[in-house]
Amino acid sequence: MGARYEAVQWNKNKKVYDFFLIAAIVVYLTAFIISGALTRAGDQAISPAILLIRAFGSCAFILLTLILMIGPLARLSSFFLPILYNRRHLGVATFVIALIHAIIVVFWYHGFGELNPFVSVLISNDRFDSVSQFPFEVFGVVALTILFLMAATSHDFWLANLSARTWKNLHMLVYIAYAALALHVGLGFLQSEQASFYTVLVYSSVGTVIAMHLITGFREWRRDGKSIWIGKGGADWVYVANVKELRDGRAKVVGLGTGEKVAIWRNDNKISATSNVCAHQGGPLGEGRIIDDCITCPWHGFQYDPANGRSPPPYTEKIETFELRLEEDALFIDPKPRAPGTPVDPLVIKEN
Amino acid sequence: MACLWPSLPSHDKNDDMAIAELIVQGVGTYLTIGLIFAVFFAFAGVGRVDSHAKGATLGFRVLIIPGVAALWPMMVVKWLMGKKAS
Repeated sequence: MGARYEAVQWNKNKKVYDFFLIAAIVVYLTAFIISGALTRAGDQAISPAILLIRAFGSCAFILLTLILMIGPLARLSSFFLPILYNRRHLGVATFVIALIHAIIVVFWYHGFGELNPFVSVLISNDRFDSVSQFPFEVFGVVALTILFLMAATSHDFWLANLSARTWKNLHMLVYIAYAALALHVGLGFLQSEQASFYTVLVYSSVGTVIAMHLITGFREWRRDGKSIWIGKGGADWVYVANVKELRDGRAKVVGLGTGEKVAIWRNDNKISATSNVCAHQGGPLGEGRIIDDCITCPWHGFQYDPANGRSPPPYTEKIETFELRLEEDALFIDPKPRAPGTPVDPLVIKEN
Repeated sequence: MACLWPSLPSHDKNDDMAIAELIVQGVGTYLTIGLIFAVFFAFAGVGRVDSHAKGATLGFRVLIIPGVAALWPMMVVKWLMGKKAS
């Protein structure tokens, strides 16, 4: 970061994203509450508090499922990249919804006795030997704690001050949170609610998240298998692409067989090569596109000049650059990266 | 009713209550200290820890309070080290 910290660096895209996010949440909660009230009339009626608990709880589960599916979906199709763009706000919204669910639960089930409500939550159920009456609340507490830590440390201040590795490891806990949430729902709501629709919804959500990660993982593994092998001693120039296969404003991502990936960019008639890893949070730059002559990360919109790998002022992020050479239509790369921010003249190609 | 395992050692309800109260009081104390520190840190110390936070907006300072309240021991160390370095 090179600029003074703000609460949120708003731009038009983020405002549109948040508008649709809040609208979708409001529509879901309203539809859930109205349909619940209408379909549960008479003997089947449930209290408004329980309806709210279920509405907010199911909303948090769906949002977390969506969060975990966005990454794989965006890798399978660029159509989903706009949802990935502001995933940070989606995560914070998920925590807020889960917190409202927890607050209503604590007050409704534990707020009217003599015991401290939080003590009551911990000791009200000790049936650890039972599936149908298991104290599923403990999994909810685990999931909510992780969601809180992730939401509270989502600002770039924390990325800079926790170190990138610690921050990344902390935010990888989202998978533990999702597992805990699945157990919370499976051992809680699904045990009391016999409606098979909810059972199918929960298990198919968890199954889809696992399947999506396996599919994209397999695709990555296959793509890495096609990496250019430069050997232990390295190589001077290696073939990477036919220039005709490069799409304007997009990148071709090439593995170098050393674990490093390079993004080969075409911006109008200029070709450049940079590291595929965003200096902000390690996002896959090559899955982004060029906006206003700058490489734009699909994760959070961080930008870099393709000719020198530097973020436009006042930002100071830098990424590695690479030398390219053109022979007829064949594009060759020097696999030795230049230091982050090193200017490399783009190759200029003839139109068509 | 399905049973996960046939026999669990019996335990005293009073012990459970005492442990639960200890946990709630412990977490409550930790977060109260954290919250008090976080307010001081957000308005007086964050600029020493991170130069980009000097002159940062009010919204940013309020936004970091929950995280500092949760991770306050680490931020105390960072603040002290920042003071030492300056």
